[in-house]
Amino acid sequence: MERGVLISASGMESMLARQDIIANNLANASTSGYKSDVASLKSFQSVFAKTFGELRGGVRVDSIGQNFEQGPLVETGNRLDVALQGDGFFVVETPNGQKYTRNGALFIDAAGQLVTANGLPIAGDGGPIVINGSEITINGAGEVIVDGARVNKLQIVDFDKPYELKKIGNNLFEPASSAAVPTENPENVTVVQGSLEGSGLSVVTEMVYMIETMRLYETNQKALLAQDEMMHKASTQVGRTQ
Amino acid sequence: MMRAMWSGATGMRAQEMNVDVIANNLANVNTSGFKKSRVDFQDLLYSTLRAAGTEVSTGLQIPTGIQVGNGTKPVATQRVFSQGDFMQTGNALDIVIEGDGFFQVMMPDGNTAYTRDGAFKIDSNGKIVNSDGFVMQPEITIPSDATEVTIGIDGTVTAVQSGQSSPQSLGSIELVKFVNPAGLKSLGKNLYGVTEASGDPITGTPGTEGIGMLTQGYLEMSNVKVVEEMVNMIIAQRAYEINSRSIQTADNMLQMANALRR
Repeated sequence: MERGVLISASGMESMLARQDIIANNLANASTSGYKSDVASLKSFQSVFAKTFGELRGGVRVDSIGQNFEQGPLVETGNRLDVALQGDGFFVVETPNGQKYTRNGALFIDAAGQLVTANGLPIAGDGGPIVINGSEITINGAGEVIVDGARVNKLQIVDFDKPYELKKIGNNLFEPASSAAVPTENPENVTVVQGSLEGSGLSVVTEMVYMIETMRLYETNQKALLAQDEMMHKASTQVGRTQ
Repeated sequence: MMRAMWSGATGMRAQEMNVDVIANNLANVNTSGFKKSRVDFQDLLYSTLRAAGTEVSTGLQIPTGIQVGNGTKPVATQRVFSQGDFMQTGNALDIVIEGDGFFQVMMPDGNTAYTRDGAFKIDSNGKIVNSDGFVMQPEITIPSDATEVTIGIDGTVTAVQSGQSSPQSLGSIELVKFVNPAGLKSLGKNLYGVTEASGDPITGTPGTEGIGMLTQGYLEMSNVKVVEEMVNMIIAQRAYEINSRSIQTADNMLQMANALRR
């Protein structure tokens, strides 16, 4: 009987985890360069069968995949906003090494370097990108042209698909496994100045996931209640003579 | 129940794309040479629960099966190449194509792009260019002392230079047509690019072989009809609303199923 309760509990916990993922996606609906998470669930059978031999059933979150579909380009008119149309990532220099991002909201810091909103420099093919001028143009190939002179080029890399990347916060990705090696200068990607890439989140899909999750949570809860009542009957009424 | 919810979700997402395309059409109601788009939808694969025609026992077959659909998906955004209205501008280099065909311009990366937008200008070297400065192909240069530039219906460009009384021929505008113009890809800036689906460009003189004639001093306006787009938008919005109903109903039914166990 306890086994059944644990299985229902695992169902409820997985639905809670799914709800967390959905809530995170919805909270980031207007974050530029955000890629939505998709949870996939797997049954416990494959995990516990080896150890216990008898315990069957139950569910847990297997992995959290990401949806790397192109988001819509939102024109902002800001000269320092760039968006990527196609497959690829910008490279950001962090104290923990190179990380990757799709978020192209750039700024110029006190030293004239092109940095992200956190002050981390964005990598260029010729080292850090320093802007000493007023007229900044970034063309489709990512070349940075200041007052008519080509100064640097935004470094753009791509990975083998399916992408094995994980999110580390601040709109940054890092390779999830050592097999994910970046290749430089991918084809089929253009840089669009004056636009940012929206999240491309489908609110409808997330809402339906949310409805489904809530109803499944409720169903599991009812199953738990039913088993609880059966245990109650077993412990209080079985064996009674009156 | 889940299937009903997801079918409703595909319906809502399809209408979102529909409204996106309609909004783009409406935004371009004043763009010269613009051709409106339309979204084509398709139903998704059906889940076959019982196939029609399976044998039940010897000699007996099921006449109709059970197949449940899974919703809809957009399959194409079709560009409608109907002729737009003409607007008289009186500019010597504003040209309209009466019929099929595209102007050719050379993009900075060396590829040729095609356009219906005939608002041409002269650059500092006298070449005929479009509003972005892309040079029209085949290149025609207008001398700096030319007074009257005339473009004939067959594309011949003539100009009267100072000191001469008769017009000199400067060249001829060639147009291009495609086997499948709807297969062209949109590049933005009123330009189209060739794809495998559109077929190779077929060059020709305006007025011959099905290619339209040129008229100088006019511009072709957008072929978007505001009333039509507004009606489509109302239909899309109501379809969106009705699909949200499917989802709500499915949700209510799940709630009732859960409530069986009090």
